[in-house]
Amino acid sequence: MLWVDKYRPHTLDKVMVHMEEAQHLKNLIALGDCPHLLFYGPSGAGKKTLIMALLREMYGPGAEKVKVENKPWKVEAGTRKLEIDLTTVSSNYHVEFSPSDAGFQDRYVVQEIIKDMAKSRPLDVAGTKGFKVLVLNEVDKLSREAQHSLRRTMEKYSSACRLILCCNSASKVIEAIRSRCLNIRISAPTKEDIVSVMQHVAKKENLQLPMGLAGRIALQSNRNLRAALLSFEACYVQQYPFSENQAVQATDWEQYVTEIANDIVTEQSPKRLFQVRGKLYELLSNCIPPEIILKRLLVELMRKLDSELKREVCHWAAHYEHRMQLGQKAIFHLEAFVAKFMSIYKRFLIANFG
Amino acid sequence: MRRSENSQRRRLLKEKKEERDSFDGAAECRTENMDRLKRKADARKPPKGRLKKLRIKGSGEGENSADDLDRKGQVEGESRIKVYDENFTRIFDHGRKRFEDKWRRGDAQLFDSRLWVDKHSPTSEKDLAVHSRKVAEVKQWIEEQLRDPSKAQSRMLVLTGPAGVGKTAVVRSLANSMDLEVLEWRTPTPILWHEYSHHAVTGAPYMSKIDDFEAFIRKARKFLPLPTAGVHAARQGPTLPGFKDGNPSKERAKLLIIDDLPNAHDKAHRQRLCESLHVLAIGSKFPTVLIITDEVGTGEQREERKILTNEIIQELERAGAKKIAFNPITVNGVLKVLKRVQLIEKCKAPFPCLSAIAESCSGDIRQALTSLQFLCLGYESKPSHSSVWDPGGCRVDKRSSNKSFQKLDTESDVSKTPALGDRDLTLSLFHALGKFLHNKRQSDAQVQASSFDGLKLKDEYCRNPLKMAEPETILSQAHAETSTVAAFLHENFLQFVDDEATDDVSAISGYLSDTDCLLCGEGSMRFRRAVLNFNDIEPYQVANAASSSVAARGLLFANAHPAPPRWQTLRAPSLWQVERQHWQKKVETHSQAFSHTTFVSSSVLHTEMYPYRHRLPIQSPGAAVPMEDHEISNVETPFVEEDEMEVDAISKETSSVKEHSYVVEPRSSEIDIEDEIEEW
Repeated sequence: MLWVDKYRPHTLDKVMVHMEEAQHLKNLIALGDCPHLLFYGPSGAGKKTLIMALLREMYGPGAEKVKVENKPWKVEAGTRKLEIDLTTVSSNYHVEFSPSDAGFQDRYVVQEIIKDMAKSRPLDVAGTKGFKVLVLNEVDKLSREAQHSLRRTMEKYSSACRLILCCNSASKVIEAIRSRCLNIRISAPTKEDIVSVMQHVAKKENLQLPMGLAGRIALQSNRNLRAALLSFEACYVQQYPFSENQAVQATDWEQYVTEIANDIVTEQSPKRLFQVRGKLYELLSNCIPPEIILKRLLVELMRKLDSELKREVCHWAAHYEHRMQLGQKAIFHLEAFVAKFMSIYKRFLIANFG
Repeated sequence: MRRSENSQRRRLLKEKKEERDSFDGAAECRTENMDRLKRKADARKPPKGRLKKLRIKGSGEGENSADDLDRKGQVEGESRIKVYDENFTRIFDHGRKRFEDKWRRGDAQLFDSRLWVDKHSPTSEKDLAVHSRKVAEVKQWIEEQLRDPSKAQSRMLVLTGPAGVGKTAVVRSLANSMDLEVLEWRTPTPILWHEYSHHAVTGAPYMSKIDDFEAFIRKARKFLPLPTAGVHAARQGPTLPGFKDGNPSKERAKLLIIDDLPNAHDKAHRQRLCESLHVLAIGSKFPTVLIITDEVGTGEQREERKILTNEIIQELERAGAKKIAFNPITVNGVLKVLKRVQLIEKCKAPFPCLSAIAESCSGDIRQALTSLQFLCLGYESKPSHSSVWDPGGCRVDKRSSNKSFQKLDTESDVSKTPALGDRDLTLSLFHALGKFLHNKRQSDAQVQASSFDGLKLKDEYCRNPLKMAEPETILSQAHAETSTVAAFLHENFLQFVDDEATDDVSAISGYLSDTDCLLCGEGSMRFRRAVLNFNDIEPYQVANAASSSVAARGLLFANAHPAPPRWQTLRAPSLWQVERQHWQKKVETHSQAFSHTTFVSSSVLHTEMYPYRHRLPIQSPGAAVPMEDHEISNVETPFVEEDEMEVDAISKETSSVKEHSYVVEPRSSEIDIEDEIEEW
C-alpha cells in the first residue's frame, strides 16, 4: 500500500494538518445535523481526507466499507432515453462519484442519482441519521446547466440527503450553490506541515529522514502533501539510508515540461514551435491536463526570464489560460502561448543583444 | 360505376395537366398501370383478394406494353438497351415525339428531336469521356463476373461519383459493346396520396417505395435466372422479345443496374434498404451495378442522404462489393465531347463558348451538353428550327425563359458565357486549404500599377490584394466543418511561414485560438436546439461562419512573410489522433481512479499518482483499504473486485513504465493522409 493511503488519517482527531477545521467539523457533527458542505482548495491539501474522516465521524467505521460500482444509469430526458455509464463508490451511508465523468450529460446524472438516493433513504431502527450523504467530486468541472440543476435538486431533496461538494476552485461554482452550502476552504499545507507529516511517516516506518532532504521534498512538492508523500516514498525506494543531499526527482512529465521550456528559450522559430507542438501532444495524450502544463511551463520559463519580461509573459499566460477554459482544443491555446512567448523573447533578445 | 369513376379521375388529371395530352402513354406508368389494372378488374371481375397479386404483376406488364406502344414508332433494332436516363427525359421525349408526329409528319427522319444528351450518348467504349482507367476497371470487373461467376466474392459493383460524370453511360456502353442484356430497377412514378385514394375503392393496396424495392430485390435474387419466369422478368424492366417468344436459347448474359434508390428518411427504413442491398450483394445471381450519385453540400436533407449512402456503401463493401469512384470529367474531356457534338450538329458556337461551358460545368457532361444545345439555339441561322424547338421548349425548359433566348440572339456573338450553364463550384478541402496556406498575393509591382489609395493604413497592416476569391466564398465552396478547417490549418501552417517570422507565427496561432473560442461560445453546437428550422439563421451558424472566417483571414493576414513556395505535403491533423489516445488512456485508467475509499480525480491520477507509482515497487491502489476497518467484513463482492483490480494494477504498472517514457518518436503516420497540394 502506498504511504499516502497507509498513513491517511481516518478520524477527525488524528488529522495532522487543518486541525482547526477538523475540530470545527467535529463539533458540527455533534450537533446532530449538518448543512450541505462545499470543500474547496488546491490539490493535495487534504479535502478528501477530511471528507472521509467526516463521514466516519457521522456514521462510524461502516462508512469506510465501500464498494465500487460501475453501472449504467437510465435517464429519461424529455422524450429521449439516455444510458450513462458511471462509476460510483458507495457505502451504506454515502455515495461518491464524479459527475463530470459523464461529460455533457452531467446534469442528468446529478439529478438522477440524487433522486435515486432520496428514494432509498436509510430508516434505521437504531435511530441513526435520517439522511444519506452524496459526495460530488470536481464540482467546478460541472457545466453551468448541471450546476443549476444541482441547485434545484439540492432544494427538493434536502430533507433526504446532504451534499458534500469538493472542488479546487470555488469561483467556478455558481453563486447559488455556494450560498446554499457551508463553504470550507482547505488551504495548502505549509512546508513545515508537510515536513512534520513526513517525519511522522518516517517514524512509523522506522526510517531516518534527514531534515535537509525533507525540506527539499516539501519544496519540490509545491505544498502538495500527496505529491510530497509520493515523492518521499519514491526517494526511499531509490536509496536508503537517505543521504542529506540526495536528489529529489521531479515527475517525468515535469521534467518533460522543463525540457520544453529549454527548447523554447534556446531557439525561437516556426520549426522549433513544431517540435514543441509534438512534445505538447505527447503530454496531452498522456492525460496531463492542459492547465497544469501551462502553469508548469510558465513557472519553468519564469526561472529563465529577465524581470522586465515577466509581467508581459504572465499576462499572456493568463490570457491563454482563460481562452483554454472557453475553448475546446487546448493545443491551440497552449501553442499560441508558446508562440507568443517566442515572439516576445526574440524581440527582447534582438533589442538587447542585437 | 367504376367506369364513371375512372373517367372522373381522368378528367381530374386532365384539368391538372391540360397541356400534357401526351401523357396517356408510358409517361406515368404507375397511373397507367392503375388504369390497366382496373380495366382488367372490370373485365374479369376477380375476387378482391386477387387484386394485389395482379397489381404487382401489372406494374411490370403495364410498363412493358406501354413501352411497346411507345416503341412502335421508333427504330426498334437500333439499340436493344433503352436509354432512359431519367423520368424527365423520358417524359420529354415522348411528348416531343407526339408533337412531331402531329405537326411535322415526314420530317421525323430528317430531324432527330431527342435532346443532345440522349442523341449523343456514348454507344461504344471509345466515345466515353470518362478516364480510360476507370472504364478499364469497370470492364475488367464485368469480364471477371462473366468469366467465372462462382469465383467472385460478391456480384455487386458500386459506382460512386458526382452527377453527370458518366457512371451510367459507362455501364451501358460497356454492356452494349459486350452484348449484355441490361435489366434495371426503375423507381415507380410517385403517386400522390389523393390519387391513391381514388384507387382505394378498387382495393389496390398502398405500397411504399421501399416495399416495392424489397420485393424487387427478392425477385431479382430468386427468380431471374429462370428463363420461364416471364412475369418476373417483365417486372425487371424492359425485356427482350426473346422472352416473350418463349425462346430462352437466345438468352444473353444479364447485367442488373440499380440507378436510383428509394428514399429512406428514418432509421428503420435505412436499415431495411441496407439489408435488402446487402442481401443482393451476397446472393445476386448475376452481376449487379449499383450507381450512387455523390451529394455535395451541407444542409439537413443532404446530410441525411450522405449518411444513407455512406451506410450503404459500407454495408456493401463489408459484403465484398467492389467500389469504383468516378471523378469529375476533366475540362479537356468535356471539351472533346462538346467539339464532337458540335461537329455532328453543325452548329457554329465559337470555341471560347465551348471552353467556357466545359469549365463551368465542373465535370458534369450531361449539363455541358444541355448547355451547348441551348447555346447553339442562339447561333442557329435557320428560323424553321427554332420554331420546331419552341413548342417543346416552352414546355420543358420553362426556366429558360424567352428573354434569355432573345438576349443570346440579339447580342453579337462575342464569346459569352452561357447564362444558364453555370453550376455552383465546389472545391475540395485540400484545394481550399492550399489556397489559404500558400497565401498567393499580387506582387508589389502589380499593386503599384493599380495604385489603389482609398484608406491609408499603417505599413504593418498593409497587405497586397489576394489572388483568390473571398476567403468566405472559398470556405463555403469547400463544404467543410469549421473545426476541421481549423485543425488542418493548425497542423500545417508552420511550414508555410518563413523560418524567421516568429511574430507572424504568434499572430497566426493567436487567431487560431480565437477561432476555437468562437466555436465553443454561446452560439456553438452545444446550444443548438433540437428542432431546426432552416429558414432562420441559428446562432451556431453565425458562430461557425465567423470562426472559420477568423481562421482563414487571420492566417492570410498574419502570414506576412510566407515561406518561399515549394512543394509541400498536407498532413492530417495529429490533433485527432492525440485526442483519441487521450480518451483511450482516460478510459483505460478510469478503473484505477480511486484509492483508499475515495476517488482520485483524473488530473491527480495522471500528474501525481502515475508518475510516482511506476517508480515504486509493486503497489496496488485498489487494496488501499486499511484492514483494521474491516473486522466484521463479511466477504462481499467489492473485495473480490478489488483483488482483481490489484492484479490489474500490477500488470498495468509494469506496462506503465513504457507508457510514461516520453520518447519523442516520429508520430506514426497511419492516419496521416498525405496529400499533395498543387501550386495554385
